[in-house]
Amino acid sequence: MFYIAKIKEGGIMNVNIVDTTLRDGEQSAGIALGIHDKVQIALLLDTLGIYQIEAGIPAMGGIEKKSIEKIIGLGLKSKISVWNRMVINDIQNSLECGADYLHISIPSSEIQINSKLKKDKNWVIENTKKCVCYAKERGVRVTVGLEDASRAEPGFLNRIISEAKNEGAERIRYADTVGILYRKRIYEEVEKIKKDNEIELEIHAHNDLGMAVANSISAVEAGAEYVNCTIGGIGERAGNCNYTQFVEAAKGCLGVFETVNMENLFLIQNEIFKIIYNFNK
Amino acid sequence: MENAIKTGQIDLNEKLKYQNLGIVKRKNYLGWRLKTMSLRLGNGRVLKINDRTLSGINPEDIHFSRLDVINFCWMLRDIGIDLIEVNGKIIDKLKKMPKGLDYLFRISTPEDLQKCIDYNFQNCVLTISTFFKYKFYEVLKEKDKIVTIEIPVEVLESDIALEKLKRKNILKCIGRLRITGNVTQNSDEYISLLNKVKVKLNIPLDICPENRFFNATAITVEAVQNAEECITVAFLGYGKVTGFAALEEVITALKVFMKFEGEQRLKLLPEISKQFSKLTGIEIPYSKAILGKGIFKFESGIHADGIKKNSYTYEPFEPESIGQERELIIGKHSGSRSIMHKLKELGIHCKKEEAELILKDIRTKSIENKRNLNNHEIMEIYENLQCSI
Repeated sequence: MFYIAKIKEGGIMNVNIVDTTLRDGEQSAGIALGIHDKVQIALLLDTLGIYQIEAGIPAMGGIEKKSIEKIIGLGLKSKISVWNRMVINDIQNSLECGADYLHISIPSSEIQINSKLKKDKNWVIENTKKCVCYAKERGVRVTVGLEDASRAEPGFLNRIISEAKNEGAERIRYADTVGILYRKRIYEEVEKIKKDNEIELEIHAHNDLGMAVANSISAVEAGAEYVNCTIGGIGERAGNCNYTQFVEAAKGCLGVFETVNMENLFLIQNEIFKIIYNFNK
Repeated sequence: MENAIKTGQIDLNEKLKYQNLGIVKRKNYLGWRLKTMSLRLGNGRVLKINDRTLSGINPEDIHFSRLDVINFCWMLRDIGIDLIEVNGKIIDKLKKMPKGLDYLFRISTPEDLQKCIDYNFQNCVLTISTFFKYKFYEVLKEKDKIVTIEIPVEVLESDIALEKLKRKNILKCIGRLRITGNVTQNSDEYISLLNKVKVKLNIPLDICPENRFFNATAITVEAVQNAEECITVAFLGYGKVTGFAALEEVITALKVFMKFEGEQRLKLLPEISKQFSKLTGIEIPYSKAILGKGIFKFESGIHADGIKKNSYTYEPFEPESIGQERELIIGKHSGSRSIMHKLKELGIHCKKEEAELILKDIRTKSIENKRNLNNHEIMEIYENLQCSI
């Protein structure tokens, strides 16, 4: 959905939904979707006028990659993006699918870099440049994700953003990977990133403390143009920003989505739930 | 040890220890008189927390026993609740509330006012419209009641309304102003509003936002971060049509952002959940923040790998700190390392090459069944591989 919101301090607020039900949502423990399931869900999401559908992770290969290829082949109105680690092989798999956007996730906190990757910050920067450049050279649009940004050092986040932008990334995703943001903090961080870097910003909020919707609203107020949501708020642990809740909150707090019919939204949501949770079988 | 239990002067840590040792039967909390459990934040500030879960329950809709309520009340006290809000319907059902706890009685009618007096509740709460409708001012003052008046935030946005409130002199009989309603302001705007209200009306506040825009927890936490010293929450955010700030979310968020004394009290949350479900008939949603049974189950290969190296990679806090447990699930998103790890849990040493061979079957079966695989199914796939080699 792309809605021009109320005028706020002389600026116009845009709110685009990037739905990640088929990627982060499906990572919810115990959820397993087949090709047909993912295609049906993508079709339903498309009817909602979702700006972008994050369809999955091609590097998983097999059925996952086939489902993504089928979704891309549908020619939906929604843009289709795919998720990648900072790994050339992941990107190669994604390029084979033909998505509109390639999203490259960059571990940005000390704990992610040191404990998970067992690398250092310089390695992360070099790989960011290498991966974004590789993808851009092959003619695809690239967005870059700051994984665990809410526990990362702001100066380092700026370095990643700067290098990614230089290589051609057109949007940055701020990921609150473990759900520890609060309203004031995300507002200030988004405002600063927007001020320091001329680049579009996407918020990816997790719901560990029950604040994913509030944090996403706050990020939009500060200037984030894209919001990650999932149907039913499904996702890792306590999930992501719940799509219908976000729309409801955005109507009340931001004055957007005024023409969106909530009844229709709930109907589509229920159809998607039936697919995910196997209600009819 | 048992004498300490019988006399009732025992702190929570010891109580949990005794219960784990099986010394005390957990039939009910009667006889326990804990030291004060008010939340003392990291900077020494005491936060008063009121809970309004019970006043959201209609006893006519659900069958619960007096003992269920008693247990729930003591659990609320243990986790840090100062005043437990109740109303006329609850008191009609129970006849008397457990001794040793502090209550906030909701007055909606003249009959409720009489109950407040008859049952000797010192603290009461009423909406501003109820207050003006029945003009309870004189009686409440005469009976020395500590009064909380509820006003929606939407009303307080207006300077004219604030002036009217100030001029009406009702503030003289109010102990506290509870701000309810649905907040649409951003963080700075909301805090400015609270500050304006405090300056204009010179009265302590009780922050109790409603959850129509799914921001009640965030608003409440924000208020505490801005030095508000009294909040009202409900378990699972239960109550009214759109609910309130969820007790479990607020208290866990305060642990993450501000720290407080006795954080181990959060381990009581699963018990309180069960008691809440008994009272209300509501099952806690599987992925509910803090309480859901599924929130520390992990499957995705990337996450599993990260958690194995350092659990904080993908978790905001240890599951044990809130009475939960982590569990590795095997399904479509598992990697070969997760399979090796799971088989090791089941007592099988599986080589990486073997795990890679069965990964495809694991994923296929998971997709066919549209769920993760149980231990039996994983073992079966592994055994089929062994037979085919």
